[in-house]
Amino acid sequence: MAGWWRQPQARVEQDLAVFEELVARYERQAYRVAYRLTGNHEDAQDLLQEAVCEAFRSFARFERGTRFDRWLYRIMTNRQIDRVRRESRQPVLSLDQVDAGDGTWEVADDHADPGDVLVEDLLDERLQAALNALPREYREAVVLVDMEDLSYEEVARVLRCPIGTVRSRLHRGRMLLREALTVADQGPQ
Amino acid sequence: MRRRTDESHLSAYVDEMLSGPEMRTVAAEARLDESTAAKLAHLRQVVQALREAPEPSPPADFWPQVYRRVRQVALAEARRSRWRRTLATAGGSLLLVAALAALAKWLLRLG
Repeated sequence: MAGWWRQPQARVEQDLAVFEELVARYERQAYRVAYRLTGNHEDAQDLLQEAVCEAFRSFARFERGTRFDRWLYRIMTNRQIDRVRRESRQPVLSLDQVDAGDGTWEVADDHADPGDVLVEDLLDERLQAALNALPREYREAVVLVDMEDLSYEEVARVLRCPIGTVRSRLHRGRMLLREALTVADQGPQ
Repeated sequence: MRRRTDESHLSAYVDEMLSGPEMRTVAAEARLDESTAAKLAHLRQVVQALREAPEPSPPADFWPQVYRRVRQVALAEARRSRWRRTLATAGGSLLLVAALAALAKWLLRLG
């Protein structure tokens, strides 16, 4: 009788051991994605903690033999969508704007020659500010492809959208980033 | 008239995610059109900046805290699972008793 009562506990303990091992394997990547998606440490930690707990609750649905990190990213991006909707605190940004970090908003100059500006040695804060200014869908594609090295197919599976959509979001995201970084590089006129 | 390459193909070209003929089309476009070549160069710079972005790190107590939280969730799951089993067993037993009672009643009526 006691064994029957303890059975669920034993099964959960087994799942927990496997689950913790998988999470431990991808801690760094998961934190990086959370940080790049949310734009700050506090929200990244909230998002990641929520996503990991949700992943454990849904662990029975995780297909063994598939990539755990990709599955966790999917949960994280879904969670992030929910958080943004719930909090509705992100300002609506024009695609031509980027936060200069001093509370002002600079508008891209369409006539400037972007080729003159190098973005190779940009500070991370500027890069993150530019990422934050991207529409969420573009940011997800850029973070997963350019920072996490996922293939277009993998991103399509994580974001549950066609590969063509991934490709266009990625391209628009990169072009907007370049524009934003160029503006940041030029500084206030 | 020369057909201009679909813009999103430029990113796919930088990532080498196009087929051979598509790669050759974009490369030819870049050779003939300065603005396409400039866009490709800018895309490469952005990709490089993203790849070289520093690694963000959480505070040292973050992961232990996450694992503690997951353990709490696990305990709650185990409790829920136990009660689900108990209720299912009780429900099953009640159904069995009801079925046996119905059978006994039918047998008595036959006798």
